[in-house]
Amino acid sequence: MLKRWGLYIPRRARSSWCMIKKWKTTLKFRMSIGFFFIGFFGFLLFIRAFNLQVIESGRLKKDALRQFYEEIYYTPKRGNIYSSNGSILATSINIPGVAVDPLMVKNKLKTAEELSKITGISFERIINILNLRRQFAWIKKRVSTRVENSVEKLGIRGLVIVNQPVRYFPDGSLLSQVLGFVGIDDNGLSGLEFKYNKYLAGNKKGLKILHDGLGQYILLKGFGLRKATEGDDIYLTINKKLQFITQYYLDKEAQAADSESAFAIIMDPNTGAILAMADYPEFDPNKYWEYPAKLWRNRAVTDDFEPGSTMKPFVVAGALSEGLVKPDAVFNCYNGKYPIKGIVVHDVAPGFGNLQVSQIVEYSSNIGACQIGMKFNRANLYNWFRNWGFGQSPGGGLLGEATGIVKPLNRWSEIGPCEMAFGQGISVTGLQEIVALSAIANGGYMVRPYIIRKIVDPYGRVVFRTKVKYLRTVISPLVDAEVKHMMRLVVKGGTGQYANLIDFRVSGKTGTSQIVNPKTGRYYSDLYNASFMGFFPYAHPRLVMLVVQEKPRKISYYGGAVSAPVVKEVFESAINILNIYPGQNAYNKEIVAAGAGAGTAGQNNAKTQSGADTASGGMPDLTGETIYQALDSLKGLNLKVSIKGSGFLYYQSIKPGTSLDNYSGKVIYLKFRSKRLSMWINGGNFYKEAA
Amino acid sequence: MKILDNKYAKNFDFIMLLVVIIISAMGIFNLYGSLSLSRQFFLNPYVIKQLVWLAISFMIMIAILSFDYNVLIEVAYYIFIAIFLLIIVVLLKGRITHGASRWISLGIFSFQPSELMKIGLVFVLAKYFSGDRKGSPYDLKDLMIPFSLILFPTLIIALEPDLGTALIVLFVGVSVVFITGIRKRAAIFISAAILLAGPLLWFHLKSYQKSRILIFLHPARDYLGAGYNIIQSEIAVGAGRLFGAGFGNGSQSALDFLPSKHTDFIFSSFSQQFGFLGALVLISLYFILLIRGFKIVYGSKKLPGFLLGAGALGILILHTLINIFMTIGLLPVVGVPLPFFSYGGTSLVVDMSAVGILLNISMRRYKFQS
Repeated sequence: MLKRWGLYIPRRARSSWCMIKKWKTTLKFRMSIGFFFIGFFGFLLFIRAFNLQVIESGRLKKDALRQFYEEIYYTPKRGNIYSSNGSILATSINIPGVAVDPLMVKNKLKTAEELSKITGISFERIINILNLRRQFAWIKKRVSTRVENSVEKLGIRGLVIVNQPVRYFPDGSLLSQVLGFVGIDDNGLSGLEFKYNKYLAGNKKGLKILHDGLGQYILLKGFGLRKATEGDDIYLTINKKLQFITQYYLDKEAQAADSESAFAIIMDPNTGAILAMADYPEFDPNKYWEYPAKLWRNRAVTDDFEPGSTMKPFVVAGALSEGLVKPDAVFNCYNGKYPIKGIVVHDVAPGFGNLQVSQIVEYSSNIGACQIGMKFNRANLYNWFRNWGFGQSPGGGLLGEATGIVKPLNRWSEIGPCEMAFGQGISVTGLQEIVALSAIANGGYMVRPYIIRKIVDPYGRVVFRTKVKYLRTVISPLVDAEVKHMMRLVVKGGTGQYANLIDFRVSGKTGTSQIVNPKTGRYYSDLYNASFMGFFPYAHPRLVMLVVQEKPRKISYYGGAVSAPVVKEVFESAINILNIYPGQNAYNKEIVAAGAGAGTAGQNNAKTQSGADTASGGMPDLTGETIYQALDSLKGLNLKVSIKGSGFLYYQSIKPGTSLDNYSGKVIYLKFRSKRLSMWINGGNFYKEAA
Repeated sequence: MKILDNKYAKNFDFIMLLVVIIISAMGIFNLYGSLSLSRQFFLNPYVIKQLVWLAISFMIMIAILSFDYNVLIEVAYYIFIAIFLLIIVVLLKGRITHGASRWISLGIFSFQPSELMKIGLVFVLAKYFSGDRKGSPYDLKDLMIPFSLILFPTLIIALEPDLGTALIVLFVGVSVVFITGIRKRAAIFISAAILLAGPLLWFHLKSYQKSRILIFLHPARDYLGAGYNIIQSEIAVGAGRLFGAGFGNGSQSALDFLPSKHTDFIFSSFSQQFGFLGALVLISLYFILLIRGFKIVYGSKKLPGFLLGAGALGILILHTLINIFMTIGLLPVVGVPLPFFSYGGTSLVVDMSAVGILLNISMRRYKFQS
């Protein structure tokens, strides 16, 4: 190459030629150094870029996101809570508050003076607030419109009116323990407000937004707007009228009896819908902070108690199912004193002689129940308690549902079955007990209780709907009929006569249980839980109700005396609220009247309309409906109805879709049965003949 | 094609030209995607201006190509003096932006004569050293004249103040001197002088210049203040990850977090949009460009061409490396644009001229053979 290059050297460049020759020898070396440097820096570049863009990229990406991507926190409207008939139980409203930017206020003394006059806060406190070195401070939250207007009229720079959403419970203390309450930051703190906060609160970070390096928001079309920003509405199964009535009579009786606390639950035994749930004493969730925290909990589900005699029907039903006794079996009740294995079981003075099983329930004989309990195989009795749902969470969707205490078998004492048979030494919650009672009322199957009917998002879509769920069948219809009859006797002529109504046959059971002193572990000698559970109407019960009063100190401590009247009063009112008819003749009368176009004025409008809708399309399909649903559907069709069985419709004499023109005034036969009746009939050994 | 049979065309480095065109095209494309969200529309003023500058610089490159570089070296002193005068004019009467007087305004366009000084200096040094009389390595006293040629413009540019450009002018000059070949003594002395000048210079730096260097050492010192640039730049580079956020989706640039996103920090914007792989492609292109430059310089048969080429290549190397190193936090922030990529006319003209010089050398290496 040098040779080739040396072919020609221009004269002008000749002087430089010898030099070029010289540095050409070292050129390679210097170029290599140059190359080396470039290579080295290139490599450095590669390493650094790799480090930034691959290894650390996650962190840096997050940094970038954090810079420009912001979720604006704003509190969306919280969802409402509705009762079953659509009236608002809890809602959110904006309430003005007075706030200030202390740095903007010029004349602090004058401002403080004026504000003090308007808001009634002391001058010194306001001055302190105005002297804060902050840009925002509250003067007073939740002020009246009058105060708001006066503050606005002042027109002082730096003073602002800030509207804040505040939870408002229009009915005050009604259903307060169930609903719970909402804190200042719009989060539910108790009750359903807490448990379903996720739904009610909506998307707090509702708006995602970009902002640029100067901090300006950039709103791009369609970017970052999440759809559901407001909270979902919750519809409860609570019947507000029934709730009010329940609360009213519960308060009245509990005050009269000077009970420490009390609660009542009403449920639809056919579906498990909780229609009312009242606690005493109440508190006002609008001002929950003014009440002691012990009032906030919903005792009906959180507190367990020894049920006492109300346990007897459940144990008797078990004994009948197992074939351990016959309904007319006779037990010697030893005139009120029955020593067994070192203890003595007492009955109410003066005691009883020989009693049939039904009479044991009717007169609530502990001695009789004890003997029935002792007939059980212990493991069997334990299974029966589990069957009735005791010791397990009832799954009603309420906050803090307790499981109660059913001691494991190995911790049962000698006389465990004896005392548990009359409800001591076992703890249940109100909700458990009413679910078990529902099983007796509805023909023998356990339903899952529920209080949330549906949850609806702001666009009207139902995001959650409770389906009625039948857990298991506990007792056969035959046993059920016996137990219902025994419980009817309780109200008819036994311990629960205060619950009796004139036109309706109410069934029930009283309970008076001793309370364990938590300090000593022994029973108090003079403090009791007085409870009464009942259901009605007798043939096709529509309501079951439980009232428990803790430590009534006046009038009486017997459940039959202080709790049964509550049930009676509420049932009496419920007849009108729910349009309950005493018997089948009454249905017929009602339906004929409706068919004549006269008597539906007081009915539920929606149902009437749906009845009218189906009329145009012929006979509606009633399969799977309960008796009352079926009757509602048939209203206005001018048919006479004959009902057989209870539970759910499985047969209708007029086939769905049939034109009804020829059937006017004729009789339609409806047959109902509990869901799993066929299993009972064919399944074999569930129902044993008494040995 | 006939034109390719031309003796010039035979030696013309088409690969280099192609790479430059590719990078320029990518630059226009990327510029469009790096602008603020509100400016990302077709034919916005930035892109149009850059296209015009690209056309101008291409014409300048062709102009340089059309003269024999030896002829250009002959007139080197005139070029140098003209640019030197411009610098003085700018210092006295320039358009002041950001507290520095660096610009001469020409109506719609404005340009920085200090950038042109890089080219002028390369020419004048090539002229000086190729007019050599001794043929042996230079000693200190022989370097008096070249160093005054380097230092005067450097000082004036530093007074504007534009320390970044001044430093690059200095480095370009010094590297030409080194490549010429000097005595060991001189080399050591010059190195020592530069090393000593560093701390001395420190006390004369403006506070923002000091903070840039301090921040380079500890970026988190002043997150929202002086460290902001470099932190945002690193975030942009890193946030691109492997595959990038996509064209126009670079949040750091589109949402104005990254300052100078279309000029000095264009590499960061690019990295966020196209990720590590995109950055790798771009770096490879620059690497090819520089390797071709090395090849041309190495293959040049004459001392003036060699020196001129070395100087031009030095400009490209310094621009590319300093800019990219700055954006990824390996060097303090100095206002150096990325060749053919950053928005800005004067630097484009300078870089394109450097390429012109290199191509000129490549195609005229055997001029006298045929």
